[in-house]
Amino acid sequence: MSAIGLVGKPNSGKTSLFNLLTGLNQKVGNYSGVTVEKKHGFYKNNKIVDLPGLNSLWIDTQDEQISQEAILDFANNNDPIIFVANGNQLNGSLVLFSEIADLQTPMCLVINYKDELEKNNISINTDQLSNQLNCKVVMINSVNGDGLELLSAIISEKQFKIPNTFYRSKYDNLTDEGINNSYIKKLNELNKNIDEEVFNIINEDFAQRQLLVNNILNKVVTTPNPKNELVERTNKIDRYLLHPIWGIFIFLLTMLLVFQSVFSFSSIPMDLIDNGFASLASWSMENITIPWLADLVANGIIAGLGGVLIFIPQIVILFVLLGILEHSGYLSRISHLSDRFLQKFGLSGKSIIPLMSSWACAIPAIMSARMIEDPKERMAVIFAAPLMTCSARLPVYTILIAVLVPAEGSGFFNMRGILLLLFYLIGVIATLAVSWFINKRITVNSESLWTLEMPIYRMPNWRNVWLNAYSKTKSFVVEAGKIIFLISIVLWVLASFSPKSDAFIDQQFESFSQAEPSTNISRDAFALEYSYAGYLGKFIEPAIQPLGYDWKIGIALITSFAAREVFVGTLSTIYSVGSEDEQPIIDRLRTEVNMQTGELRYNRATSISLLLFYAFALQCMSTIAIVKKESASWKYAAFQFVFFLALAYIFAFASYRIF
Amino acid sequence: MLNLKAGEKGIITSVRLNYEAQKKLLTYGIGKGALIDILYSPGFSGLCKITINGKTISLRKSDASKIDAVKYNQK
Repeated sequence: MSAIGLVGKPNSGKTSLFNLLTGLNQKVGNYSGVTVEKKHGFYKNNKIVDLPGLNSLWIDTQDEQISQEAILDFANNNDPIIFVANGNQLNGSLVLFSEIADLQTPMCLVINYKDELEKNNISINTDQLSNQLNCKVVMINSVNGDGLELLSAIISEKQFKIPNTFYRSKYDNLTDEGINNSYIKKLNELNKNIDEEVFNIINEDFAQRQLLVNNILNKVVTTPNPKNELVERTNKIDRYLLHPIWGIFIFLLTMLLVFQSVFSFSSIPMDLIDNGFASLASWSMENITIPWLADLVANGIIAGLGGVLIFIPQIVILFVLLGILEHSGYLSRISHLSDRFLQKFGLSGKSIIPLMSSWACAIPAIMSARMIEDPKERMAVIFAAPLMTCSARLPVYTILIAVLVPAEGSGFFNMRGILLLLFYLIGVIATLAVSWFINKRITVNSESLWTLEMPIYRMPNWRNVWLNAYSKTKSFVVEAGKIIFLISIVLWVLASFSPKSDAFIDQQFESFSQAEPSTNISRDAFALEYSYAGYLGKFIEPAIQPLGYDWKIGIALITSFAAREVFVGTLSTIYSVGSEDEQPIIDRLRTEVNMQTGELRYNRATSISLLLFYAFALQCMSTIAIVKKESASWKYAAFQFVFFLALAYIFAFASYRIF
Repeated sequence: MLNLKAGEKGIITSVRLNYEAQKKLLTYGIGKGALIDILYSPGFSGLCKITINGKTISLRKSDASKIDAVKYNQK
């Protein structure tokens, strides 16, 4: 089976065409060692490979490097390439076409956005263009599939042809490596260190190609109306959407809507998943007769699966909404508006979406950081994003703030609300400060040019929106899911098993109950003290004592590594509250006494210290799993975990001393 | 090109960025002699928006200030 490559500039509609051809029949992965998306699918028994968009064989980014290598492979194997050109930008697209044509592999040219060209009365004589290029040319609309039958015939009847060369003679010298390899090698050698001499070579290369392309286009394209209506319309809309006041207002409103939707639309499906897994767990507790197996299935396996699948609603909703923003063209405008502010922190407008999405959940946010082309900026965002106050911190904050501030304040200002807002602010400040710090450390070339493409406004293509959300979700479940599932099982083992025998714990429990009949502690809560997690809690007690915590909080810190909200559930088990509702837990925490000092355990100092600990610590195995996946490095994920732990420790320690 | 107002056309006369950046601009078709449309001059956002060969891009003010252009009068 032969492979066919899809090549084109960014925003040429290449991925729409790929989705149109392959539908759900596609596989998305990563190129090894990097996080550039690798997509392939099948169409009529042909393997279609969607290569990352590139602007030129004179490459600039990692995406382009991957693309260049793949194109060279195609050319060396004589495999065909479908070149996708944006019909509205035919000039620039054909310059890139000429570069690839010079590698002399079979090709065909697809001119996309047929409908928009028709709307603008631009006509292209495809037969004549085909003669000029010496390969098939078809016009299509990748949104609705108009014109696809022509491309389909080319693919199934293998009508790809080696096009005429443009400027190849310049590099034609046959070596042992073959013409193409030596050509690309020479190109990359020159590209590595561009001085005046090299720049003149590149400039000449582009100028010659431009000249040849202009000659061809002058013969085949008729543009009766010099004004492009679609561009004009986009400019009119931009007058409002990029307006210093209206633009910012609409931008904030849009972000509020996105953020609010991720929050509220996901709550019902998340509750359904949560309840579904809870009833599945209790069903297996009742129906599996071997106690340890029942416990493993219910509290290990099912809880672990639930911990993975619970994120699906948020991921799907965020990526559907981002897809709509991206495909409509508005995403570039958001980047345009926020660039100036983010520049102060070493970031750019392209970071705004991942950072704001992090308010809902860091997992989809970190995944969405792929839209940032600059690898350094992307790594800084991946690093800092988990400091934004995600929704899992809310239950922890709510309980601790309620313990800290006794009664709801009266009047317009509510002390609890103000404190919560303060912690959101702390999250934002910490995120920006850490991005600034990380960027300072990894930025080498500060003089690099920043550009942002502003596509024209279009109705989003629903198929693309959906397929993108689907593939993102699938990759989360498969890749990060494995790690989350594994850690859940480990945490279950720690909390369920004890180095001591059951009989020993029973005996201890009995003598404890007899000695102190007034204390109302369940067997489960008592057993937790003797579990591995309990021993670990006691083991770390000396380390967390300076923060104002005891071994019981230590256990909660360990178990809530699974996810921050587990903190609440663990506390309710430890103190045998027997309910995960807020009020009983809050009441119980308020009365807990520190045995050594006789003071309340959850006094002001400890509560603030815990709040700050959760504001900074990376208490979320799913985030660690996704950071590992997106940075392609365990080291980076580990560094982030340790760095945040250190921050959390310092702030918790300082606040415990101060308050 | 900052001397040009929104709505005006210009021809690039020189680019004073480093060669790496100049190469990147060339891949967008922006080089000496290229005809550009200024759509949005840097105000609040600090970015300017230009069109070249049907493609619209935003550039930071600091970069745009190093691209010189003269006004092009259409007849």
